[in-house]
Amino acid sequence: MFIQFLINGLITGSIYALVSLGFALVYNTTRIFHIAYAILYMIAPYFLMTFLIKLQISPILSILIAISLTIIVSLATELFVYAPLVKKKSSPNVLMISSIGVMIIAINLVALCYGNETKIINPSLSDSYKIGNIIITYNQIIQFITSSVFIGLFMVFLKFSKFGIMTRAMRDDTELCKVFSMNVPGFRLVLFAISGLFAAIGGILTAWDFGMDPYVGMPMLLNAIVALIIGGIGKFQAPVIGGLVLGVLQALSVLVFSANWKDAIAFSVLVLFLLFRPQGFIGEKRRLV
Amino acid sequence: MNNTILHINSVSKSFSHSIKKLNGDVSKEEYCVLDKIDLQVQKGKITAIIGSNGAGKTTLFNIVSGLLNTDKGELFYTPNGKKYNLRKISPYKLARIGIGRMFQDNHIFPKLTVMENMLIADTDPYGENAFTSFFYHRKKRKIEKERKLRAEQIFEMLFGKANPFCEKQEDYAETLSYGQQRLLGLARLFMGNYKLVLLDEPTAGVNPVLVKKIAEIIRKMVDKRQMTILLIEHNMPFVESLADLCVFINTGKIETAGSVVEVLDNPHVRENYLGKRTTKRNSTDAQA
Ligand SMILES: Nc1ncnc2c1ncn2[C@@H]1O[C@H](COP(=O)(O)OP(=O)(O)O)[C@@H](O)[C@H]1O
Ligand SMILES: [Mg+2]
Repeated sequence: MFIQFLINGLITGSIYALVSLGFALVYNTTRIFHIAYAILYMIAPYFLMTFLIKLQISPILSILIAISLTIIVSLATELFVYAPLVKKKSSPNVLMISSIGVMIIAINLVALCYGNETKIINPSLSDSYKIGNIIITYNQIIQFITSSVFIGLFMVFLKFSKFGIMTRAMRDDTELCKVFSMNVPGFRLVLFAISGLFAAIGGILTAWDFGMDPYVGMPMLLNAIVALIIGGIGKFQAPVIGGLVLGVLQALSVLVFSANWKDAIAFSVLVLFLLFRPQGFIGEKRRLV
Repeated sequence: MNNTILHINSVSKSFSHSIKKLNGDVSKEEYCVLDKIDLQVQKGKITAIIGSNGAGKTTLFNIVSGLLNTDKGELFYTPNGKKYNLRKISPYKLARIGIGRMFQDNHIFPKLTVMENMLIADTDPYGENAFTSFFYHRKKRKIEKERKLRAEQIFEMLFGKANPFCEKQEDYAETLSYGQQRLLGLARLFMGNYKLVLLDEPTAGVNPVLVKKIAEIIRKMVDKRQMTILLIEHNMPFVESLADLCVFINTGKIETAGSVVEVLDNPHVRENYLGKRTTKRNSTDAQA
């Protein structure tokens, strides 16, 4: 039983990790608390549903279109909301409140177009493999492999490519980036695109299994933020470690208590970390004075 | 006039801030930080800008490097026959056309490794694009290897065969000492194809041995790479031993310009900035 829950936790955790990484990519480099990120996660499966079920386009093509549209939404939030505000030197709080505004508008639009109720994209039950008395569904395998591949690829690029060096340079000092020939506004668009990609993949993977409603974004965003904090803000590996840990903790809490305790566990972990290890798992201690 | 690399023609800049009066009215007050600055920077020369804190020196650098807009005036950059209007070029393109900059305080990317700090200063854009860097693996490898080699050669040229920078190249740059961080900030400027380099107080807060080292590096920039240097300094022995030309800025105006000796001995400069000279000038090797 324990191992079954551990594996379930790692698989959910891998999706948390991917989604949290997308959030961290924007937060670490631009310092925007990108609440509107939640809608990317929510809207991707709706796009998929439209093309796959309503328009009867092939699955692969539908997925690619859904991901592209989600990336466009991500770019639009940067182009039409954040970038103009940054240009006007608005404070981080203003940015965050605008971000909340964008999220609420988008949720209402989706609710208006598609309805409030839960939608299912994939009605068939997934096949599963049995190893000993551990059951892993086919969907779970896809979830784990897809998230791991994207996380792995991203980490390799972050470490070894000039693009990666530039991403980490943005985290360190945007002003200094400008004098070393980085087109900062243009580079931000690349980051928002990748961030949108990760949210879309996470959203589609989860919704394929469980369906979606217009409100799935917010709880996932909270998970992503908790993962980021318990991993250690500032480092790009942090959301990955934090996501896996959070997934496992939640799964084990289902084993010990019940499924309703999931969110309570996430927040208890968050509070404990903020109190006793604010730098997270891999962050370094900040000098207080 | 083709010996000039940077033409600063009558550049002015004001900042405004709001003042709340006792009766609750808010009024905007403008204050002029730069007032019709005219400066022709000579190619291949080291020009020092001196002046008290708040005189507007850093603001002038920010305008040249495109981080601030001017209110009035023109800026032209003429590295080799071509003429660039700096007011019309986005700041991130300046490094590509050869304008380098070192800031007053943030010199390095603390959480990049020493080597990465060098690599990022390469003005060759290859490998920046997230999507092309996905493909063309071979070519990318080769270029990256070449970049790294070039960085190591620069370290050796500046700091000798066994130097702390080559040894610590895989460590975070923040693990270097403050002085070493400054040297790294300077060494990095050899990576690109810089022709005009703006240095904002390169010797502030470092010890005399390092000051000497910094002077040496700046000389190499000029002698080995034909860079033109524009630097802001408060360290007068350093200016005297290194610079060719000197400009004195006081409350946003260029008040005196000329050779270093001329400017430093100018009674007006002495009175407003340096203080009265009590000893006669003797041979200037008073570094430490
Ligand atoms: N971005 C800014 N906004 C408002 N005031 C500024 C700004 N940058 C500089 N100043 C003001 O301009 C004046 C000159 O500053 P600066 O150029 O940094 O002086 P320094 O000669 O010491 O480098 C100072 O009074 C400073 O407060
Ligand atoms: Mg200054």
